[in-house]
Amino acid sequence: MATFLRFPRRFITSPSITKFIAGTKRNRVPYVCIPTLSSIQSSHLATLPDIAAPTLGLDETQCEYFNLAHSFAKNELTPDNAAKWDSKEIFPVETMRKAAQLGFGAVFVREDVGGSGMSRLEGSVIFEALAAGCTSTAAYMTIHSMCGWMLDSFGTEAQRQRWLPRMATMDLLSSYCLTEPNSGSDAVSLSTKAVREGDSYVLNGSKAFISGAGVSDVYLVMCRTGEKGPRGISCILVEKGTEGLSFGAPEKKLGWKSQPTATVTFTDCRVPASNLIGVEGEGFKYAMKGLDGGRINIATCSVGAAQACVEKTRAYIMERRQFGKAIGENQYVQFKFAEMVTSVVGARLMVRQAARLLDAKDSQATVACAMAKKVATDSAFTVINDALQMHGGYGYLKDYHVERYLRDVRVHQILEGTNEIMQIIIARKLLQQD
Amino acid sequence: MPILRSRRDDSRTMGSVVQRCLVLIFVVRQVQVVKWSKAGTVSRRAEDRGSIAMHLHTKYDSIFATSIYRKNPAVYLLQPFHSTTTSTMRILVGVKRVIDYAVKVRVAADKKGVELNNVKHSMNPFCEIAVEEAVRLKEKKFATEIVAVSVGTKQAQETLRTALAMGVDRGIHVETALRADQELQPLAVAKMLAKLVDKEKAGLVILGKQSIDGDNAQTAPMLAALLGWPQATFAAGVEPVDENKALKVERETDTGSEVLKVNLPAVLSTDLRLNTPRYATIPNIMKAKKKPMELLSPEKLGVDVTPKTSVISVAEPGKRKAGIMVESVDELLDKLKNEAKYRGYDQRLYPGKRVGKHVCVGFMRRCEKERKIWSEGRERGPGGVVE
Repeated sequence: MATFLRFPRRFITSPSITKFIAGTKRNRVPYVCIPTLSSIQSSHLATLPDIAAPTLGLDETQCEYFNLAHSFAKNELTPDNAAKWDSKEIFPVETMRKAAQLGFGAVFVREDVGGSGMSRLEGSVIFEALAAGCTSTAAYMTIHSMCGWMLDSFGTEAQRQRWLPRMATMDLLSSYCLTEPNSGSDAVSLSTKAVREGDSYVLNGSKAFISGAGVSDVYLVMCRTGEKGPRGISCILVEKGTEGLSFGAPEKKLGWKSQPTATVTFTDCRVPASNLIGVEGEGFKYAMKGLDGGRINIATCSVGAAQACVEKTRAYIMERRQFGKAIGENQYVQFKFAEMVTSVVGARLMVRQAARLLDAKDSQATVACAMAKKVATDSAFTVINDALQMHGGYGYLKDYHVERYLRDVRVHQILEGTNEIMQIIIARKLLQQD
Repeated sequence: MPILRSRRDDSRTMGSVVQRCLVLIFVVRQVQVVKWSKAGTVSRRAEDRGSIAMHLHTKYDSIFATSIYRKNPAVYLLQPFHSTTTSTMRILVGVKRVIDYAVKVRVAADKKGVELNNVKHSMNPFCEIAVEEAVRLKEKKFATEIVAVSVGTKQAQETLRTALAMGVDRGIHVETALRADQELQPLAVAKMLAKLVDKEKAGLVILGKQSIDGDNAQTAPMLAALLGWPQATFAAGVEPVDENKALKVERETDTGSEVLKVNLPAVLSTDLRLNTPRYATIPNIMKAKKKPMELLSPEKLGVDVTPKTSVISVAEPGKRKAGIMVESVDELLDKLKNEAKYRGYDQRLYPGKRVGKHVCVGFMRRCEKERKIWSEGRERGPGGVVE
């Protein structure tokens, strides 16, 4: 009779289970153990107590969403996969389509076109779990869902029906094009022009640092259709394959390597006037609203990455022995670790608070999003940097994955509005004269 | 295939002839209604079939109803009429909430069991496989409805919701405060499931081969025995045959693969390699909230769940010694031949083996310490000997 406990194949991807099975086998076969790197990086120690668990304070449904995303991340966005995508710069489209099958493709889009119709809070719960697996891939998925949300919120019924069902399954990938080579923090100064000619718009100009550029099928382009300033900006959808749309070479980056980044150039690029999203001249408003959500998403991805790193660190400091004891027995390491976990938990609270305010359409939401983005991205970088330090020389090696998280979250302090711009937003609100 | 099933034919004495006739009249009238209505095609028939069965079972003791159906020729005549290709086939699936497979369990301070508080729980992996198989059988049009049952504390409802999100149609929660890993024991669960099989008129029961907390692997065989149904345990492949009247089941055994044909109704228990469970998708998680969940208790089912065994103490297994590094394959082979010890299970200790006043309930591994305990006949740690 088969007496050994066997686990389903999909569980085997979990390191702890691999270890368990290997352990079971060791009892059947010779008692000779060959330690491998994966057995050193045991993850059975990685479970943090409930106080630092991402599910703390969530209701039953949100917990279920988290568990779903968490198990997807554990099985599909495994450290091995993420490391491969990172080192070989692979854009894991198939994996993302798998995620979309579960409802992670159009998280904030209404159900009638295949979306999941979730609140920002629920979206944050999901993306945090995904980012703990592969931060860079999860971050691209948040960008895609932001484009979906924009189309869903401001597009016409025909536009929604035309693109969203396929965007929800991620058969169509999308990119958000706001930044230009000469217009970064000062987004209002963007100069890509769209001129109305009869039934179409003709676009000229270029966009820089576009995630998914070259691979994405749908580009939401913020361009100038009128006067200078924010009121002259509109949002136009450009499909891949349109004549006059071209892409630069993929940029070589520090992190976020599992998604291509390139410039997008429009040369007399003619699109039908029906591709205008919403009202002409309102584009900047949409862009800023989109960015509120985008900031929560990026902050969320930072929290997920930091969570993954503190879990790895916990395991490491409890196992690594120096001077005859585990390094985690040193008070300095303990204090540092307590500090790290506390700032992850603190950042998570701010992110979820901002998400709740945005869901409630609160007037303070924009500032709350800016605060959350600043705190979460800054603290995540610091925490992961500390995690790397605690891993010592091993932390610097790719095998231990901490350095990948560090490289991936670094850009979070820059994009969706740099953290300095976040401070402008916060200060402006705080010092507002009544 | 009879619509009202029970193998227990000890009910001949129940109910008078008059009663039987009354029921028979009712049945015939119902059928006439169906016959008369021209639009009463397949689905109507199925519905009426269900309602007749339901009526018999609600109005009379289920065994009595079954015996009428079995023994009365007039009712027998109706059989071909009822067993159309679209007949209802209800699958009952058991799901258990256990400590998550990835959690490192800790022995509680009182040494009476493992710590259950503040530990992540999830659906037993083998139950997940059972749910997946049921959903696949429904997708193949073999089954028409899947009912998931979970016995346990209030939180078991979360596990049921997961099953509902995977594609189960409705849930039944039998609430009990007993510890699911120790006090809620296979016989009690099997008895409750047997009652529910009767109540739901299930044609197939799929259970996980074992739960990863108790590791008993007894519920499915016990249920099959109680129902008098054929069973196929440790299923690694399931395929409907004979126009859905039987299942071809592949089982993995230590000596190779075994293929069985079981006539329905039957009890299956699922092995690891049967399938890979699907993820519940977000839209399905939302839909699952609206699916019905019935709340029951052991008392309502009339089953005594008092534990028949009790755990005396639980201890952590001894720490494994560090391994060694070998330089070459030759050295490895040498060590395998000359130094490696076989550390398999002790064949002398099997579940049910009596050791003095104790009975072994789990599998023990052979090692120095345990051998000593064995010779002294004292009680020992987890999965070991209990009174």
